[in-house]
Amino acid sequence: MTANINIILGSLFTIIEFCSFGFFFYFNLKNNLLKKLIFFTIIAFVIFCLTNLFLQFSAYEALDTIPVTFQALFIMTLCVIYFFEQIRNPKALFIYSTSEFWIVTGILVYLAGTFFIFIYSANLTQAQLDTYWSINYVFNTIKNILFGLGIYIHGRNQRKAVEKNPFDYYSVLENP
Amino acid sequence: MYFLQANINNSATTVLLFGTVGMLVLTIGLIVFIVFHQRKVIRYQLQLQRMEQDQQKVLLNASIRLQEEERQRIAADLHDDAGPLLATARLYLNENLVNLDKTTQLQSIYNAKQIIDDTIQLIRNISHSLMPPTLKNFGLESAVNDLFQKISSSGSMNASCRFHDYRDRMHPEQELIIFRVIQELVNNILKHSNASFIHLTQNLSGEKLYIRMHHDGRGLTQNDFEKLNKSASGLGLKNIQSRLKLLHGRIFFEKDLSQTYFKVTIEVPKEDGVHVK
Repeated sequence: MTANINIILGSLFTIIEFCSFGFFFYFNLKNNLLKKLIFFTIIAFVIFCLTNLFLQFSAYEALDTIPVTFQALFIMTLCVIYFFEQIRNPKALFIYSTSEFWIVTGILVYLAGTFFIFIYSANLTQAQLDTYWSINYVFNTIKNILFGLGIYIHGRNQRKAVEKNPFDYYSVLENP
Repeated sequence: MYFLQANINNSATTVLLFGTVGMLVLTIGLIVFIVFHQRKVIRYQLQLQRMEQDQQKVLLNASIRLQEEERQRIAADLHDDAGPLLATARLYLNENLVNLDKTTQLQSIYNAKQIIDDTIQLIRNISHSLMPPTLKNFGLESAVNDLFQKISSSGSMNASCRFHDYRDRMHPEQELIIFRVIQELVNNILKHSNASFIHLTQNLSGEKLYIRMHHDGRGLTQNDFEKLNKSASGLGLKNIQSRLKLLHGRIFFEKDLSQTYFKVTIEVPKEDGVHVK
């Protein structure tokens, strides 16, 4: 029963993670064709994951390796595309002064670091998995630190923008 | 069976560890590359921007200097020619108040009239040099024809022009800019080239208007033009470039394939609708 709940929760986690990362790139990439591709891939991915979960429920052992591998490859490709888009049309003087850079770096480091452990999780014994699962924790922590840095930089940039263009209270009072 | 399982597990562990390290190295390498490359791109773009700003500054300076020279010329014309003429006319008219002899009075009025006519002609000439009436009333083709006829009739050079496709007039401001560029080029040819003829042709190709000038004197190539454009001298050429920039036009200097003639080509987009104020 607990194993079943874990499988369902694992699948839901993959779906939510893929959707979050996918929509992050959907809103931050400039290429319209790519945006459409991301949107339809998200829909297809959700359908595939749910179908996979219901049809092959008994075949699951611990982790849904195929969706996770696809997710990692797809999102890593989007990270690289994002970086190259930033080289071609830079948004800021220094790329690391934008919050998106740190978020994308966090996503990329996490997915690259955990790529092999997710692929090979089916081929490892429980003891090995217990030993090496710490890789996932390490990269998850790095990802969270980088996300935190991104959020901090976003807040700092917004504060700077407000200082540059102070909020016009009078216009709000006149046009509530 | 146990060994086989153990081998598989060992190789999986090795692949897992090496794969993870490899992916991490690749990712860090990619991020470092992106950061440094983006800085390089930004630095290059800033340098380009700075160069463009410098060029703009040079062009602006050239156009200001030219404007000042033009003002000084007009001021000199008015002060040296119109001023004395009007002062003389005033003297003649003043004489009428003192001298009551009818014949002398008539003579001085006649003289004053002559001088006023000369002054009117002088002011007309100044005004025409500022804005040729032919250009305003009849367009670029007639104005260029007029200019070339004047050069030809002076006898110093054989000048001819032919407009192949100029049925619809351009915007008057665009015509004036093109006319000024042609004037400047002709002026340069007259001053520096020692040519025996100038021939101008106009063509339309697609949405672009082409004006080509040939002459057989000493001329410029594109390299010379670019060098002069960057140097402190070559005020006229800088002025040509800043004028053409307003029309999003371009200019090319080249030597003819036969190596006998020099060719200048002006390219201007026809339907650009640039309104120069």
